[in-house]
Amino acid sequence: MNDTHLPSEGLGSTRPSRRTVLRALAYTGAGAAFGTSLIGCSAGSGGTGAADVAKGPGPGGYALDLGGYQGPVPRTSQMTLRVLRADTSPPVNDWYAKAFAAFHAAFPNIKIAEERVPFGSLQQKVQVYIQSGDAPDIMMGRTDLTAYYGAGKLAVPLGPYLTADFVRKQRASVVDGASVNGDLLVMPWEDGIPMVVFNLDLFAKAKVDPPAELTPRQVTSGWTVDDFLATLGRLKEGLARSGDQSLFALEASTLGNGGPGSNYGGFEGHFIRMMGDPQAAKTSDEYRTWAAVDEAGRKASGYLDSNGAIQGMRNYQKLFQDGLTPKGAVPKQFAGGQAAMGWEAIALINRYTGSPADKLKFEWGATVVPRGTTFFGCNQAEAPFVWTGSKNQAEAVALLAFLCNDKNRVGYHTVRGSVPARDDIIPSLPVYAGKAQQLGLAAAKHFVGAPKTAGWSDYSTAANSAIRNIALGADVATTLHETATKVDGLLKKYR
Amino acid sequence: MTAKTARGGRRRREAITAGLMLAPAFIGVVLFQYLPLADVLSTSLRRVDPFTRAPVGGPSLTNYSEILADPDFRRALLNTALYIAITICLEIPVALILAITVNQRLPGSRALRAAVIAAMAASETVGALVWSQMYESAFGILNSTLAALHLPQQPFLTSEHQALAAITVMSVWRGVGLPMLIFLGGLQLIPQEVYEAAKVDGVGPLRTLLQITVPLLKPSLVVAAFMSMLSGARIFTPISVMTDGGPNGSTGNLIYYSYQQAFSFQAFGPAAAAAVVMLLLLVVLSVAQARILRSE
Repeated sequence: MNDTHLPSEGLGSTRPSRRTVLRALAYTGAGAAFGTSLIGCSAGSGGTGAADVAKGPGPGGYALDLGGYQGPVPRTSQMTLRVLRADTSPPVNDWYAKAFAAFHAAFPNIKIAEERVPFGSLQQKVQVYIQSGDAPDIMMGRTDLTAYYGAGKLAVPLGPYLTADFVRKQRASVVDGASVNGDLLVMPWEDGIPMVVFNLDLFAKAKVDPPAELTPRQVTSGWTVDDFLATLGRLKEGLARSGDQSLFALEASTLGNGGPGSNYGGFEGHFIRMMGDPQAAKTSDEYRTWAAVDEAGRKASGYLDSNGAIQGMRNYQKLFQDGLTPKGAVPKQFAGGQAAMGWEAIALINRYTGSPADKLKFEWGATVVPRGTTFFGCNQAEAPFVWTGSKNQAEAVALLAFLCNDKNRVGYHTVRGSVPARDDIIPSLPVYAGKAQQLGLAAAKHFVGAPKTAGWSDYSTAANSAIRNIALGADVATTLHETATKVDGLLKKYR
Repeated sequence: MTAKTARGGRRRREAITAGLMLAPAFIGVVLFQYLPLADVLSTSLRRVDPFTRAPVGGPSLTNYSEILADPDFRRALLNTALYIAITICLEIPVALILAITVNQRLPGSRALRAAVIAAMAASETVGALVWSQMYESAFGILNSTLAALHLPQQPFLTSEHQALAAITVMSVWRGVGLPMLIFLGGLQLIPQEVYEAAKVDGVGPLRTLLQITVPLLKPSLVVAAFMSMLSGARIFTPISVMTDGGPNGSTGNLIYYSYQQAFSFQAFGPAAAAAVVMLLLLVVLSVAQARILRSE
């Protein structure tokens, strides 16, 4: 049997062994991987730097109203601009489609290929695209990640392409959030204003007085976090007396993926940051509580686990320990009339006000978010940027500028419901005449923002996980100390 | 032209034809199996730029030493072993019972078979979302049932001690169909005469199961156990959808750890190192399985 010669053996001694083939495959793979990584290295380094931007005719000088654009006239060669953004409601998708069609009609050589992904997957998709070395020209980013885009040189500085007047029109806090070292890296797109909404019918049912009505001038003297927690406690008792066990004092967070620890930037982080103070001495606990990370953006120990942060998270934990809000994600509790209060973005409040489909079936009101040592607001909003690896940077900025011209901004915020990044178009949006909206806009002028770090994505992911554990009963101080140490390790790679 | 030369020419042509026919599969295997594997191995031995994924510095074992020092990794490794153990312990007996029930063609067995196969065919994400709602602490059907029976409600997904088991149960619900089909095939190969002889000898149902069915199903059992082991090691979607690896890392496994390192923390080196450890674990388990099969 062993002497039988198979046909393939005719190849004699030149026949490679299985081991040789596997080794060759491994080398081939390693070689290809090396090649791939070289491609990865080179990607992103091309394109036009800010210094190379040639000035064009400026506003009014192009085939279309490109708003505050003052860069070179879009080239006439055939090109496709790839755009990545989160999927939105049909009216907003329709707004994008019409705007892209208008741009293409004015510049027929420029096609626009849009890719939409679910909101929750967007930032991950952006990162994966960048790391692949073949990212879309325009990607929807976030203002709280601007430092990340800056540190990795991922976003084209927009300033040289835009007029100073255009930048001046944007809300200063948004421009600050969209810039790193004075370079505007993401286009001011919209603002994030959190508010507390309350169901007056459920307040009446629980026999609890609703939050005091505030005028825009009184926004900084609204309720404190202690008032907020006390009101929730009274609501819980009152609702329990009503006998309906399905009612909650505060709805489960609707931000991010929902539930505790789903959106540090938009909700849970407020409980920490509001206990700090940016005006305090930089060595003080108050300053470190507010800052969340050291000035270089590389160390969370002593910041994320400061005394103020621990107190803030104890307040947050009370929401769950006392049964004031569910421990898991429950969608639309407030809108469904199952929770007496909600902590929501003003965009949602605008929909309650302006969209017949979202109209609430009960009496409701809105007030400012509670304050601690300071009146902390959200520093997280969607904002598109142009990838540094794009071969069509000027055209990509021109498209963004077109989307940001006056007419398009009014159209966008009308269908989207979000807060404009500039005050001058607010009068064109009727929804902002509402009492709640006026209050929100006034609060935004007083909100304290937060410093940025390149590692913010890592930071907030680790913090969200810790917050979820705290909500479920983990010891606050121990969890924050451990998480701060973990974040220190995660931030090392940005050195 | 000699006969030897003609034979040589034919062999060369055959070799070329064979090579051309094998080329698509070979290229596919290289592109989609070996190239990613080589990339992961190479990445696991380097520091990687968090922005561009470009390698930084020379090869080293730093990523491996970092993950071994990380308590989250050690917990994920332990959890992976727990997932495998619980999956096998739950899935195999349940699949066997289901297969025997379906094989006996009792009333309702067709509906049972359809239900099991439907669970297997359902989207894993949808299944995880449905089970999340069932486990929900305030309104979930399981806790509502417990409350109706005056039993204490359970924090299925929010307790460190219950969440891993809760996820495994969901995973077994979805995955039990495959081992059931394997057992069903095995059961149909057992000659009816064996059961008839046992009946004549007065052997009871339990002894029939333990001393006839199970021993004769041993080859199917080994294959099913192997499949269960793999599915237990590869649980990902339910973890991502139902608990995000929490509470306190009690449900995160090696795959989830690797995913988090890569896509949440941009730490591609440690992510690749964890993937290599996972690969080695699966290789060890596969080799063990192959040895058992060979002994069969």
